[in-house]
Amino acid sequence: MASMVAGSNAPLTAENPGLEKVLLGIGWDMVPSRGPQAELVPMVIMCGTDGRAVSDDHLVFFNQIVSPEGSISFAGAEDQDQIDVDLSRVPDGVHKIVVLLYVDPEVRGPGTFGAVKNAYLRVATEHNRELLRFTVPRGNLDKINAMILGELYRHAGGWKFRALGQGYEAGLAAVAADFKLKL
Amino acid sequence: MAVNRTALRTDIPYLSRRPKPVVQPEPTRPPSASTAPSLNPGASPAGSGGLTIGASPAASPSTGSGGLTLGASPAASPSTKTPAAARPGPRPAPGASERLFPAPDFGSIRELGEANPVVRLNARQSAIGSLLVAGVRSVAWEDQKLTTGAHHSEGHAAGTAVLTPGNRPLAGIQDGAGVVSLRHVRLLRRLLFVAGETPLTVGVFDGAAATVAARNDAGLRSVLYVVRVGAVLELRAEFVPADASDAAIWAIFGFTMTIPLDRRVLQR
Repeated sequence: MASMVAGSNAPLTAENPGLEKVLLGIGWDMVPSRGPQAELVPMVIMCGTDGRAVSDDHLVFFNQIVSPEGSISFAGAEDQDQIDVDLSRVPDGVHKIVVLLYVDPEVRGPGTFGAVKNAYLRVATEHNRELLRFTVPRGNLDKINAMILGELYRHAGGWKFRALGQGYEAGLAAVAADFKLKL
Repeated sequence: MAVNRTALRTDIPYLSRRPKPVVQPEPTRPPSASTAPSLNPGASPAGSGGLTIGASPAASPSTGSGGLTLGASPAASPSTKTPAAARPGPRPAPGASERLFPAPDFGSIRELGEANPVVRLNARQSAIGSLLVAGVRSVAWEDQKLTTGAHHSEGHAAGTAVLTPGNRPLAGIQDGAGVVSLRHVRLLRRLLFVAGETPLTVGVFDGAAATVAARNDAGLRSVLYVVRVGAVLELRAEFVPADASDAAIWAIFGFTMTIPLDRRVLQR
């Protein structure tokens, strides 16, 4: 298992021959509160070579749990959320798979990442053998309400993973604008 | 005689089945093993091990299919070689929201009324942020456990509140508007927004919105009925007598308020 820092990348299929399916585990801890809490939601966006979402349907989250061709699906269980990715079935037109967390934009006090004690994204085999882990570095996240944790991307006929930890202060609306999604 | 179970029966839309992994075809039988009758005279008997109805010549004999094939195309033949990356994998059974009758998308109709009573949100509209409804007199909710409650714009409440894991009411009224926590849409079963004296305006995170007049042409009071069907919400404009009380309107829609239980008693 390798621990990653923001901006670093690591080969997945080159280092693990025969790797066709990966499990993305996403987890976090919140500062306990008796009042309304920020609610984090994992989301996966499938992007083309232009970096934009292939379509609004190429987005997987808790209420749209399978990508159109079935290569990405929400599984859940050990981490707060788990996402299965069948790399062998990802359409050729998908160049990268972006994994992010957003604070649900609930009108009654949505909150920010300031209430998040830690958050991580780990990449494992389909049998849950951990390959890579990225823990979001602690810092002042009080204004952050969406964050790209990392991305799987095609490279030299295989797949690599890049840790990012890129925060947004304008939340899901900014994510939607960046990826040309209608959210 | 083997039956071809790999081809999807699209001619029976009301039936569905759990997808199964694609099974490998039986080993090809030698041509001399052909003993079953064929109902397709155009098909060559060579290599056909079973009953074939309406299959194209290219579909059955040359592929060595040993079982029943009903109008199978060559692509559907179990022995057709397909690269792993292009092979359609197992898909989950279609959910309730994938088998809905057609309805206009939310945002495509500006005003709901007797002419256009229904719109449907997509899965993203149904699950991000809050469903906001302005102009309400009251909101009533029923969750998946059939817990029912209501909140009036003047502050009084009935039934039982449903609290989400984010420590917010699943539905309620805040600053004069009805609010629903869509992060927990899966907890929801249905909602009832009763119009006050101004039009109801309903909107979601992506900016899509619609209005419902407070009264229809006959003077009946508008009610916005919201029901969750699988992953999506459906909005329907309904009309009730203008002088009907909230309790009478709940009864019309089959809402029975759940008696709240005192936690102090339950925790003893």
